[in-house]
Amino acid sequence: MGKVGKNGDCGGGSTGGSGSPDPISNTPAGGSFTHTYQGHTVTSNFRDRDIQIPYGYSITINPGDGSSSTVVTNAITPVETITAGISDMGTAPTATLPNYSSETVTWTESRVDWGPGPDGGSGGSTSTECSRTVITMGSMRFETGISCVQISNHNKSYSPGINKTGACLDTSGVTAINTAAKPVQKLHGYIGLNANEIEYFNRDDTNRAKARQINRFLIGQNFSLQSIELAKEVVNYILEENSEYPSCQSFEFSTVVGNDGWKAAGVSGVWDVAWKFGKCPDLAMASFSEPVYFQLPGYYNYEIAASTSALLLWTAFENWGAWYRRTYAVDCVSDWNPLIREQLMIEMKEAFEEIGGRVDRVPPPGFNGIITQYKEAGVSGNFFCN
Amino acid sequence: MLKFKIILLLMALQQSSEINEYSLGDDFRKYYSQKVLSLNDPLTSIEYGVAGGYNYLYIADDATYSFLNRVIKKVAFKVKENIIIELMIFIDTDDVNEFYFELTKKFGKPNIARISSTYLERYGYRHLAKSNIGLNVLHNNVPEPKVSDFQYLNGVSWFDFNNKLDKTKFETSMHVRNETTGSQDNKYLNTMIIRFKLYNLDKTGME
Repeated sequence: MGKVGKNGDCGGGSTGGSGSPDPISNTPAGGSFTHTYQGHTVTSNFRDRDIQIPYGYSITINPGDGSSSTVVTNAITPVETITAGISDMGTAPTATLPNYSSETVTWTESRVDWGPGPDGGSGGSTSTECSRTVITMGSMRFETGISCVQISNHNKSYSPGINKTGACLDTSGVTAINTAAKPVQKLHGYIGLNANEIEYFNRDDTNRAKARQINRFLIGQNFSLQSIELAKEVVNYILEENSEYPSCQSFEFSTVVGNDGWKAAGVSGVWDVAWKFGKCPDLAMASFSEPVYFQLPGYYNYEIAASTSALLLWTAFENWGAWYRRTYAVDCVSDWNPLIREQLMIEMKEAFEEIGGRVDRVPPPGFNGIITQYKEAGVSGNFFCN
Repeated sequence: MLKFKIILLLMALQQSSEINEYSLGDDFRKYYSQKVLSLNDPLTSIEYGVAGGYNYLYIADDATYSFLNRVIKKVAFKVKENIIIELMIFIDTDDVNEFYFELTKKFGKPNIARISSTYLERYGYRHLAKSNIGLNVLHNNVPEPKVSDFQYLNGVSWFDFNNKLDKTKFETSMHVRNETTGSQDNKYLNTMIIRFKLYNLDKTGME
């Protein structure tokens, strides 16, 4: 059985298993990295710019004796789909484990979430079911971290199957290549993360699992320069896709011809979602796939106009949530409703008008700028471009 | 040394004035001092991160003002005819979760949570705006956020909690969100941004 990765937290590195007899058939077109590890030839294949690693990555090991095996870095989480730049490599052969047994202990925790409030309301609490699994593999014993699911509030799962401490096994019974008790710190040591990136990867177990998978990739690649660059690219991609706040980068202002220096930015894809608590918990969403044109007077320079617009859009979102709560205070059901969407337009207009700006669905006469896609800012909520 | 700092902080907090929901409707002049900046220039507004029609900014270099027993770092005022109609308070904390718990202890369950893409992603709806998922699907599959989730949302809001004002005429709201600003000693530093707003429901006078 081929071993990949360093000996570490799980006491023996990780395992592969007898896999595909025809590794070539699993080799996609594009870049290919080959190196030797503990006497084995390890070939890792990529398609152009397709970054596979965090969501199912296979390494084919050819020991040179005519046989081959494939190690699969199965995600600890169920497979997630990331679009735009990261594609699924397809079904890779799965390494199998030797015989093992597992025992899971389950318990329930309750916690008061909020107090009664000044109006004497009833307050609320959350019940959570937690479990810990002990898995015995031959002479080795792995104890997973605590995994919790929320059992109140619709009985919805919360980070299912994710371990809160250094998990060595995933829930499907496939061994992980290497276990990282502190994956974020390790990733930071490998490629250097900034504060925002560290905060993101430490947010929850899902994100820590992503860091862990990138670590595995780097280990599998022996920290080659290419792998480090790819890992950095993955981190950038993930952070960009997981941001939350309106970004000033959504707004590419240009001067409107013949309008006293007024500036305008066309933005498509503006959206927001609000959850209404209370007796009738409900969701509302407003999104604009078509461009919305944000306009500010000439005394705003381009950078200040973009930063100001991001903050004003934030204000519009807040006010839209307030309107939604006020208008649908007693309604229990609301599906797609054009009024809800239109209200966001009204709120955007009001927010901009308060400082002398305008918002419209049609471009102002003389606008010859570009239309940008609505973009959310980094996880730190940095609104500012200047 | 740490104990000494804590004692100093507690002493300072005891002497500080609380700015909170009851400050809405106050006469701004009682807050005016040499430390108050005018925000008429958009550049100044952006420099201090408070764009959106705010008139004045108080930057605290001490514990002059507090909210929930925490020192206010800066506070922006939106003023109409000397009456405060909006406040934006900035507070630094290294325990954002605890802050949200304290808020819910004082104000109860919030009324609105603005759902983030990060929260949706946990339940498989990462690109919600680009998909054709019905709200009913979302409603059936995305659980109600709990307090420990608040730090990962775009913000939470409370309404109608100010008993000082006539609720038939005025609606008050509090909007809270957090921004990660760095890390220190293995803890993540967050800035809490608390906005108190006063709406005049009959649209006369203040708003």
